[in-house]
Amino acid sequence: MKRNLILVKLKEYILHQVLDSKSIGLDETTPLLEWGVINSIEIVHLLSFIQKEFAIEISPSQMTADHFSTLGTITDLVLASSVSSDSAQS
Amino acid sequence: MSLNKLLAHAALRWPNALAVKGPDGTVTYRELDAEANRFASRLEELNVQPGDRVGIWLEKSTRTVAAMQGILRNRGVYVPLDPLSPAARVGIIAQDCEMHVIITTQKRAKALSAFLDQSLPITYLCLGEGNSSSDLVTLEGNGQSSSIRSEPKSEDMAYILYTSGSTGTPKGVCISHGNALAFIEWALATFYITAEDRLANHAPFHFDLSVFDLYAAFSSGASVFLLPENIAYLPTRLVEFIAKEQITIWYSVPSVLVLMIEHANLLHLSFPALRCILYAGEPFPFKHVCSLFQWARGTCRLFNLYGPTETNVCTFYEITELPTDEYMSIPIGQASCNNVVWAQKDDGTVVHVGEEGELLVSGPTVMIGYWGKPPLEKPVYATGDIVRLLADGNYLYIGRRDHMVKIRGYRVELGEIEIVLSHHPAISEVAVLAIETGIDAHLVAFTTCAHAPPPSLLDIKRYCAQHLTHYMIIDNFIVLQEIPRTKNGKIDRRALLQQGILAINRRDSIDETKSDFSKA
Repeated sequence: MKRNLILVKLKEYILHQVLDSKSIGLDETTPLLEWGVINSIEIVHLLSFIQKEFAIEISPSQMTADHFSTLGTITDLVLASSVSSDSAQS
Repeated sequence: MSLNKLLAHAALRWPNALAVKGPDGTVTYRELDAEANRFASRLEELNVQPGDRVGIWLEKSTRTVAAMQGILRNRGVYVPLDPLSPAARVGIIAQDCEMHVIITTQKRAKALSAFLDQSLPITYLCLGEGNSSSDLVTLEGNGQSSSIRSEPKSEDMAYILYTSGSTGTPKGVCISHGNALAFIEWALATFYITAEDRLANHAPFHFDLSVFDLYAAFSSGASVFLLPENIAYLPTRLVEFIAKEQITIWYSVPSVLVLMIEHANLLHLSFPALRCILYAGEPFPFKHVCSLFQWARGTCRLFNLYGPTETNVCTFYEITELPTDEYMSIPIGQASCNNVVWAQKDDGTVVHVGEEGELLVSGPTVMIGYWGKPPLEKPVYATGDIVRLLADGNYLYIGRRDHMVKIRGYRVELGEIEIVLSHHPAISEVAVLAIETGIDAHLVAFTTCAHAPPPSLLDIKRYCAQHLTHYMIIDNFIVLQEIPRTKNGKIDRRALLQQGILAINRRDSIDETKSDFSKA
């Protein structure tokens, strides 16, 4: 899966599901946790969105809040998880 | 007896028992005691005097626990600071209680120094990030107790916990050694804690629930397992943690248990070691507490503990049978810790069965007072909580007198958020409301704006994050032409509540239509 595509989908989710759809300035490095864009409860929803949308399993050891700190780190998590899911299937 | 004796005593009696397991490893009671002594010696070198305030702004670790105990050993007063709080808010607290030393990391110290008056005599004691070999501070010595200081007295202050303040700044609740010990002694006898127990520590150290986890363990030689901040709200990690560490006693806010029930199948799992679940901080959604009771029945006791930070735990209720739906709520129960509690009507008379009034608490766990204010003349605290006295002598929580709300168990004064937001350059007037409760709680800000276009939600969140701690960051932001007012000029919160509910429901319904947006 292309990094850019993942990033766009995640950004759309945050913009429309969490924010007010008009937040200029949301980019790969916006500190989502620090600014409370996603709070502790929101992570759970985001996780289920990611697992469904990208058809991947996030391994429990990868499941820490640090991976949710920016759109960039979430994208990396998705990429890393899709690699491991692919290799598990092959 | 003083709070710092508990660890020293445990180190003599159970030297090789596991004391604390944290993200940085494990320590036995002997090791924890030695590390606490090294902190105490270092603080002595820094000239920390009895009663001096020492802040701890660190993530959870075994060393954070040792630092706390080292401060007490030096007869200092520890002030745990939220590791997720912005430097600006920590700076306000450091200045408020005139801290002498802050134990933190170099990165945090740098951020904090930008907010502190350079002329203040605050010393930073910086630790490395976990890896002890990279420590900036070498805590030398053999860990033998060097201090010849006399023991603190029961009425001496042990720690200060800062909570949200309605006047716009956090307020410091000052707890004495005696206050904390009265609670711990009660807890030991009520929950029969032994050296075999394995306690989970979910609450952060600036939150009073953690007082139980640490000191109940130290008093009995039990082990405490720290849940690091980065997995504290990830339900699958939490259930994995309970199983792996064979936790016997779990204590958290209901929101966290609800997360595990809804998102990690808690009620379909079994934890043979788990024998006690304690919850506090907010009402437990009735539906979930009933199913939790049925799941736990016969193997695991279930307790509702109640008490503002100012009183530790002052009432408790054990759920021993399936709750009836008469009140759709679990009572907060009856007095604990040798306290006396009663409810008083507006005219000052004590309520009779079936009547409602404000809950008052008097007794050994009631705080010394607020930092910077005169101490309470008598140990009596009016909680601001409205309760009803039931026929069986238990109290039932009904609601608040004021604008304090609970967000995932954390207490939030809406006034503190309103004052911060009122300083935003684009905002003229603001009222903040909490809509829904528990894990569905939303903080909604209603504002009028000085000029168009109004700031975005992202802007407002960023602004909140610079001044407020994470659970006070607003979730929604609604711009109005004017803030509705009642006939006597007060903000019409009832009208705003209606608008807020509508806005959230509208958003949810929009969300449903949008749920397939990414596939379009």
